[in-house]
Formats: sequence, C-alpha cells, structure tokens
Amino acid sequence: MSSESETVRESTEIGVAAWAIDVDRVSKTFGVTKAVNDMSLSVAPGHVVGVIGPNGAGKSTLMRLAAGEVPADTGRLTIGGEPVDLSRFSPRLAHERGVRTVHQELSLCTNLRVFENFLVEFGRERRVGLRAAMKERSAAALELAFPGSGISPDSEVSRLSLAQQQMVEIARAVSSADLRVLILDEPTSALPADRVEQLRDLLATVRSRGVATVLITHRLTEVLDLTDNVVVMRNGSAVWRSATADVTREQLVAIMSGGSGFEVAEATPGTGPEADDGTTGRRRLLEVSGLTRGPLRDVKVHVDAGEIVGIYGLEGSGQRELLRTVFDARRRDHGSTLRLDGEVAFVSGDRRREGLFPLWPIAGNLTLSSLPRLARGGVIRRASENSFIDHWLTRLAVKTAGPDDPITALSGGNQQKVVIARALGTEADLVILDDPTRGVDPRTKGEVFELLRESARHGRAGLIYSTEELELLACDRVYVLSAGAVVAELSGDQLTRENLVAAAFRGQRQLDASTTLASGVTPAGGLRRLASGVRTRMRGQRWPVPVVVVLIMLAVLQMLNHDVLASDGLNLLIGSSLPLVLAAIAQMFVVAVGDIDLGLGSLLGLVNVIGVTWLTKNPVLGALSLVAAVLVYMLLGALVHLRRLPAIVATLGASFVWLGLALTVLPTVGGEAPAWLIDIYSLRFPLVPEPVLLTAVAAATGWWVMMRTRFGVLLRGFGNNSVAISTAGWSTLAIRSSAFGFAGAFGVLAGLVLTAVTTSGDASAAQSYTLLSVTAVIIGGSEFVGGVVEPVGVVAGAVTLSLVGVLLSLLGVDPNFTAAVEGLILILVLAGRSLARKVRTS
Amino acid sequence: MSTSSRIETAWAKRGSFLTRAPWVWAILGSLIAWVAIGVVTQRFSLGSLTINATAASFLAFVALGQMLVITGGGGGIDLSVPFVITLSAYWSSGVMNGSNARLGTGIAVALGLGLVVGLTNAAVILGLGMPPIVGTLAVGFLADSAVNVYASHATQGAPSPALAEFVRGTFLGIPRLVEIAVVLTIAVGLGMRWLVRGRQLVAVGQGEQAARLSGVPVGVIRAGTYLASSVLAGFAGLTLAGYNNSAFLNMGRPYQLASIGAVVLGGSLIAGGRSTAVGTAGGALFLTLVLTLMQSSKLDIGIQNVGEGILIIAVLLVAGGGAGAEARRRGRSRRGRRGAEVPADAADPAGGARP
Repeated sequence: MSSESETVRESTEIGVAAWAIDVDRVSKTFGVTKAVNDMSLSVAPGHVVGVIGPNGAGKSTLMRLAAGEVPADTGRLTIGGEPVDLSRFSPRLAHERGVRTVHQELSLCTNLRVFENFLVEFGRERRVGLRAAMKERSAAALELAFPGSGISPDSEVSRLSLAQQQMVEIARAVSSADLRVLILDEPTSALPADRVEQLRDLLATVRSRGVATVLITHRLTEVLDLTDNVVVMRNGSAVWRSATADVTREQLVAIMSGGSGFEVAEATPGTGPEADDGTTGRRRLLEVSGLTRGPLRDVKVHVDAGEIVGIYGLEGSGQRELLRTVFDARRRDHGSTLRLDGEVAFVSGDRRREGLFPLWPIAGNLTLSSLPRLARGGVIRRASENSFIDHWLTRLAVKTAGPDDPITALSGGNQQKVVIARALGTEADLVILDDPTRGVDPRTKGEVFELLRESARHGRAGLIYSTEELELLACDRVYVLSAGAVVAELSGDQLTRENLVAAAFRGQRQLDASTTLASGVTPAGGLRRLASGVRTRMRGQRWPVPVVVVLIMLAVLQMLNHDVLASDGLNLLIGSSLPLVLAAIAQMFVVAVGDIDLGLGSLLGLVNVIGVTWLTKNPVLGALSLVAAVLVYMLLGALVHLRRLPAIVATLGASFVWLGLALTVLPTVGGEAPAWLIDIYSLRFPLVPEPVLLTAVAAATGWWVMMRTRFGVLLRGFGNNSVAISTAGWSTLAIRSSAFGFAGAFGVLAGLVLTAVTTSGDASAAQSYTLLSVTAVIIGGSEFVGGVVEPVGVVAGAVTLSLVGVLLSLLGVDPNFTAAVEGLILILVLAGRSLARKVRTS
Repeated sequence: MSTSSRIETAWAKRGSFLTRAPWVWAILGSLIAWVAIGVVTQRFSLGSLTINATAASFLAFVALGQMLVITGGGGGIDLSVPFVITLSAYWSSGVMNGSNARLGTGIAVALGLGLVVGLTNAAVILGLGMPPIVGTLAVGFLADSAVNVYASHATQGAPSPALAEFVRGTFLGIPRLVEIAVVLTIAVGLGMRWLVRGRQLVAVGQGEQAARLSGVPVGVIRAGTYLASSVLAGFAGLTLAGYNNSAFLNMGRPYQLASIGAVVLGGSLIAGGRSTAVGTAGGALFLTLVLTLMQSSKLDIGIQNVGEGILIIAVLLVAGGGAGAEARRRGRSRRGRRGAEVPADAADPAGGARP
C-alpha cells in the first residue's frame, strides 16, 4: 500500500512537510475486525481527494481517525506539517488543528435552532453577544455556501428537510475560520441537483483558500468532476490510487466491480442457479406488487420456493425498508400489495444491535427462534434443545467452541453463522437476510451461502440484500433497486458484476437528472418577510398552549368564584402554586438531559425542615447545609454520568437519603419558619401581587438560563444528541452535573418557598411534588426524550396543576380524587400527543 | 506451573464464578447481617432469622415481580407496586370484613386489583408509549386515589381469620410464607430458563430489536411482566394484611425502593437481560436483615432511611449501571440516514467519546 501512496506523492511532487494532512499507515481494529488496515492517505493544501469503495471498506472509520473521534491503534498522523500525538488526539484538538468533518450521519442537534448549532461548534470564542454573533455568522455562512437556500438561522433544525439539514452542516464546517482539512462523508446523498452544483462552487472556493478536502461518495460523477485524486478502498486498505484526470467513468465502474485493479478476494461461492426443473410449478412464497411505502416506490418483487433472490442497490435505495416491510408482514396485512405464504425468519448483518444476545452463550443464541418448536406446552424440552444445538454446531463447523462458550468470544464470522443458523433452524419458508456477511471473512461467506443453498434445496427460499456484488452472483435472481424502485431484474447470464453495478449507477444517474429544483424557494419582500420571520419563530413553539390553558383556568375559576381575580385571591392562588413552579423548573433541568429526578419531593421536604429548624436558629449552618444539598445534587449528576447509573434508581435511592435526613432533623411535624423568610414572602408591591411577580421572575430566570445562555444551548443539545456535543469538544460530564446542580438549586428555592407558604415543617409533606413536577414539565410541552423543554410552558403547566386543585375543591370534589386527577391529566396529555403523532405520520 | 500462578488461576476461576453467580453476595451479606444482629442484640437465635425471613418473604413477592419488569429492559421499572399493595390489602380486607365466608371474594379482589393495575400499566406504557417510570407512577397515583376514596367511604375491614391463620402458620416447622417465597423464587428462576416465554423475556432485555427480528413478540412479553408484577404485589398486599390482621394506608410505601433494591442487591442487571431469582430473594432477605440490624442498633428511623438509600446507590456504583440505558439514549439521538460504517461487532466509537 505504501508504495502506491509514494506514487501519488511523487506524481504530485510535494514534500511531506507540505501536506495539509498526512495519514501514515494507520490501523484500527474493532474486536476481531480490522476496520482500517495499514492505510495511508495524504492531501495537499488546495487539493481534493475522492475516497470510494464498498460499504464497510473502512472509509468512514479512516475519517473518524483523522478527526480524532476514534483513536488509531497504530500509525502516524501529521496535520499541517506538525505531527499529532495520537494517544491524546481528540475532536477538540482536531478542531484546533483545523480539521472539520461533515458526517454521514448528520451530527446536528435537531432540537436546536440553526444558529444554536453554530454556537455548539464555535461558541468558545466569545461570551458577550454570542447569540447575535452566531446568528450573523450562520446567515453569512449559509448565504456563502448555498445562496438562496432560504434557511433562516432561527429555524429549528428538526423542521428542516434532510437536504436543508445537510446544507446547514456543510455551511457550518466550511465557515470555520482556521479550516485546513475539510472531510465530507457522503455530502451529496441528500442534496438535490441544484444544491450539488452550489456545493461544487463551494468546493472551488474552499480549494482557493488552500484547504485540503477529502470527499467520500458513492456517486462516480462527483468523483470525476470534483476531485484531483481518487483512492479506492476495500477491506480497510487502499486497493487503487490514481490522479482523477487519468481515469474515465467506465474505468471506475470497472474498478468498483472488480474488473481490473482489484484482486478478487474470494472465489464465487455456491453452485449458481439450480437446475431449473419445473420452476413454474413452484410455490410462490412472496408476492409484492405495487408496494409504495416510505422510500419504496411501486416495488414489484416475488420469491418462489427453492430460490435465493438477491436485492442490490446503492446504499439507501430502499433495500432495508423492503426487507423490513416483508418481515413485518407476518403481523400486518398489506392486502394485495404484499402476499406472504408461510413463515419468515430474519437475519441482520448488524450483529451488535440486531443479532446477538451478548449475555447468553452460543446455545441460547442458537435456539431462541426455534424455542416454540422445541417446547411442549410452553416448557422447553431439554433433550430436544440439546440435540438441536448439537446438530447445528456440527453443521456450522464452529471450531474451538462449545455450546456454553460466550457468543462474544467468537469471531465476527462465526457469530454471524450462529445468527444465520438461528434463522434457518426455525425451518421458516422464507429467510430474509439483511447484509448478512458484513465484516465477515471470505471463507465464512462461502459457508454462509452453502447453508442457504442447502436450505433452498429443501424447498425453502432466501431473500438476501448484500453490499457485495460478488455474493449476489450466487443468487438465482437479483433485483436492483434505485431510489426505492426496482430498476432491473437480472438472472442467468445477465447476472454479472458489471451489469449489477452498471444498473445501480444508471438508476442513480436517472435520479440525478430527474431531481430538479426541489429545494425551498422563499420570496423576499418587506411585510411578507416579516410575516414569514414571525412564522419561523413561532412554528413549533410549545408554550402558547399551556399559557392559554392557564388563562382559561383562571377565567373558569373567576366564573365560579368572583373573588379569584381580586388581588388577594390571586395572591393566594398563585402564592400556593409558587413552590410547584420552582419544583417544575428544577425537574425541567433534569428532564432536559433525558433523566428524571424521583427524589425532588423528598428534597423539598428536607429543605422545608431545615428551613423551620436550622435556618431559624442558626442561619449560617442552615445556609451551608442548603448549599451542600446543591453540591450533593451535582455529585449525583456526576455519578449518574460517570458510572452510567440509571438516574431513576439513583434519584429514588437519594430520595430515601433526603427523607431520612429530614426525619432526623425534625422527626415530627412542627418547627417554625424564620420570620425573615415569611417577611420576604409577604412583601407587598404596588400593582402586581408579589407571588405573581415571583412566578414571573422564576419563569424568566428558567427561560433565560435554558433558552438564552450558552449553557442552556449545550444542555438541550446534550439531551438531543450527546455525541454531537462531545464531538464539538465540550465536557458532557460538566453539562450533566450542572443540570443536576441547577435542579438542586431550584429545588432548594422551591423548598424555601414551600416553608414560607406552610410556615411549618413536615419531612414527608412534599412527596407529591415529585410526580407533580414531572407532570408540570410534560403538560408544559416538554418531552421525555431529552432536549425538548419549554420553560414558559413548564411554569404555565405548574400553575395549571395548582389551579386544578383549587377548581376541584370549588366544585366540591372529594380531595382524595386530586391525585387521581393529576395522574389522569398526565396520562391524557401523553395519550393525546401520541395520538397526534400517529395522525401526523400516517 | 508455579504455586503463585496456580493460586492466581484459582482466584481467576473463583472470580468468574462470582461474576456468573452474583447472588452469592446477597446470601453472604445476609449471613453477615444475621451475625451482626446477633452481636448487636447479644442473642443468637434461629428465631430472629425466621422472623426476618418471614418479613423478607413479602418483599420477595414484590421484588420477583419487579425483577421480571426490569429483566424486560427498555427502562422497565414498576413504581406502582406500593400503591397496589395498599390498594389490595385495604380493599380485600374491607371485602372480607373478618369473615371466612368471604375469603374467596377477598382473594379474588386482591389479585383482580393487581390484574387491573397491571393491565393499565401495560396499556399506558406499551400503548401510549409513556416511559415506564412515569407511566407506572401515574397509574400508581390513580391506585392511591382509589385507596383514599375507598378508605373514606367504607369502614375499615379486617382480613378473614382463616387467611390470618394460614399466613402466620408453619408447615414442618417453617413459616408457610417463607416456603411460599422459596417455591415462588425457584419457579420464577426455572421459568426464566425453561419456559419459552421466560427465555424470550431474557432475550428482549438483552436486545429489543434483536429479539423482535428473532420472532419474539416483544410487546406481549413486556405486557406480561407488568401484569405479573402487579398481581404479585396484590398477593403481597393480601398476605401482608393477613399477617398484620389489618390494612392501613401507606402500608406498601417501603416496598417501592426496597423491591428495586432487592433486585439490584441480588445481582440482576438494572438495564435488563440478566436476572437471578435466587439473588433477588437473597437481596430481599439481606435488605430486611440490614433494616432489622439498623433497628436493633437503635438507629433513628431517619438514619435507617439514609442507610437504605446509600446502600442501594453504593451497590449500583460498584455493580456499574445500565450500559443499556446509555445505548438507548444514543440510539435515540442517532437519526442518520444509515448506520455508521463501523463493523457490527465494533466497540461503539460514540461511547468512547464520552468519559
């Protein structure tokens, strides 16, 4: 490999010190798979290198190594002529050296606005006026990269189309002032043709800035148009390098399909199509016709008994969706568009996420799908299970392994054999295989196909999707998918590597041509722009509904009792809701990072009893203990983060600590609130009653911290996409811990206000605040998934909940029902939301 | 082979045995706690062990149900158990009202209430997609209201004498409750291993998607665990009422954290996918003994609470948390158009990015 890289170096005639980035013989092994193997890649300033190759060739891993996201096992890395200490290399260091990556998986925080995503990446630079600066910067960056994109810096990313999100991500990376190396991982797969044109111009600008660019792509046209050099990767290494000017499209297709330059890694396995005796009389197991669903468009596919049918296409052409739809058809009726006759089993190539049961030995992994067959009356028969295991282990020829050995000790290939045996062992009529040989050595690939072939001989069938064209040659027929549609069906002599690749790329080119100006066109004009600006800002806002609900509640209460809206009435109403308002804000900080605090009610109780005892007698000790409580909260957050504790159990355990401490401080109900606390709480302001003012201040503070500060942006970003935040170089530990710290601080405030309201202490009186605060957060428009919080809504939700209690008592409802009503509100709100989501998606 | 290396090998083997059989710790801890109680009270007796074992039986019933929910993974947890216990105990006592004739009705009410709550939990979590923590807590509050309303409208009944007698009785010199708990523990342990549904449950906990693609009905399995947990909690409430010869409000309260604590102490993974029924029962015994120890040491009720909370957090810290929970969090945040080009069995690079 290195000799080839030397050739490129010589041909470009640049000394080593002048490379913008020089990756020298790096290797990276994941488990037993060598993802990158002794790979070198050098790019000179102002040059563009295209990296192509099949899925799993190690392209993305190589880029992650260069960007500091994955540590390399061996090798050297030089950026801008300075060597990099690989043991301490990190995304942050990479950023400082001027390396920016546009990821294949979008790495934006979708819950944040466009400019906030810029802030996550560039927010270190200054503090004052950060938001305004970032808005300007993002607008300028977008205008520079994709003129007329119509993307407002204020838009929430989740409301943008996939193409627009991609544009934001590219613009963000390019806007880096000290950009030296730009890595683009499949930047165009989501972009329409006109935007690809703009990207071309952008790359030219970037090139003139002296930036080195690495472009990973599946589209050969782009390789030919945009790059200076091409590198073809396979199995973690470069197998072919050349100056782009020296190759033609046809040559590239030939190289990709192994016609030249490739050493064929494996012999074609299998026996090819079986003797076609009576194909017509076979049972039809699967008949798909006119299926249009998700990315699939009018798909027509069928599989007969005894056949192995392949699916091929460029990544993301709808292959996976087709396989899943067929598998799910066991339970779901698709009418005449999808007819399935018989049992189905599924094999996924993503062993870690979708194949293995890592805590079980080989035996358990092998038998799971066949258990119903091996059992009588729901009880597994030991003898049947053992003979099943023996049978398959012998057949699989998994060496050096007994049934009780851990599955994780096997090599990837052997693991995959077990997963396939699990599916075949069910004796299902149709086995669906989703890229089953990913990361599997060539010999095992052959064995896998032999297993399939054998089961086909017994009248069963296989439907297999593979990224490796060679494997598909062993199928009886292959459908080629492109952009969700079947563009070719190859069999017999037609079924060759060249035809497969050509068909897939042909489909791609048709797609390129047919994708016309599909991106948003935004009209410009004074009033209309203003209106659209307001609309952009208001779209997806979650606070109006809860606020309107509060107003309605107040109106209803006013109708029932005319004293409600009088100053004293309001004082009382809002005053009693203030502890919950503060508790809800506390809970909001924890929910924002995706956790839930089950100890909040007990914390309030502890603060309450400290308030009526220590704080009265010894204010210094009292104040110190409250500060300590906040610190313990931060510690809890840090522990949850570092040891990956489930926050539920940790906070539930902490709730016993709080309760126990509270009972120790004040075993019985009693005590006396400090006079100054009550005084502060009953200050009278002109015009606005104090509780209303305090509620407004609390809401404003929560809103400001969460929505306006850099910390708030990072917090919400963490809840949505923690990987993006840590890749941008922020300490996720500090973020999680601070979130808990804010929760503790607001919890302490809530406890103090509770003390002022009740004027006496009771260790366990505040227990109900745990669920109430969660409910307030949710009805205020926040989501449990993390990152989606709405401070103003949360405050409105808390007030609403307090008012519900008042309303119930005004209506003469048994106070025992209050808890039930609160629980029901929570369930109903979530039910409504899940219903709305279903309506939206269908 | 040198002596030292032989010792090392022996230790390594022992280590692997303890990782494979984490329940040993719970049993060991129980023994130590029992001895400590003996030291503190200066009286060693099997009697104290029997009493504690009986008290631990109630916890074991609840904790075994809790364990099933936790085994199913996906953040599964049942916070409604304390409310079910109280509800079942209170309502069934009211129905029985001290009469043997209505024993059958009482039992049906207790278990039926558990069934209703379990179904509601399953519906709310699996149907509406609520997170289990909040779903079970909300449903628990509904049950709590039901108790309060029932208590304010009905006279406080009493369990039937036959029930009280049966629950307090012994068989072959051993308290019946302990025997029931032991049988139940063995049944659950064997069931998770040798029943199709049990095996599928463990599979779901290890990998929801992998289980689904292996043809396991994930929703049915998880719903079943919530049913089992609530029915077992109902059973615990019934026997608890019988044992105390009365039911009172908030009687289920200690069982919320304790049931989770017993599962954690027993060595089951809080993220699901690996559970040990023996460990859970042992954890229940250990936790009960520790509480007794704290009581015998004349510690305040407050300090006892603190001790229980710290014990559970400490065990979690040592055992490490749910990597599963983190994986889910990451899974949620990933919404790429396709999977990363990292080999399937690769260590997650994203995980490495986090400290």
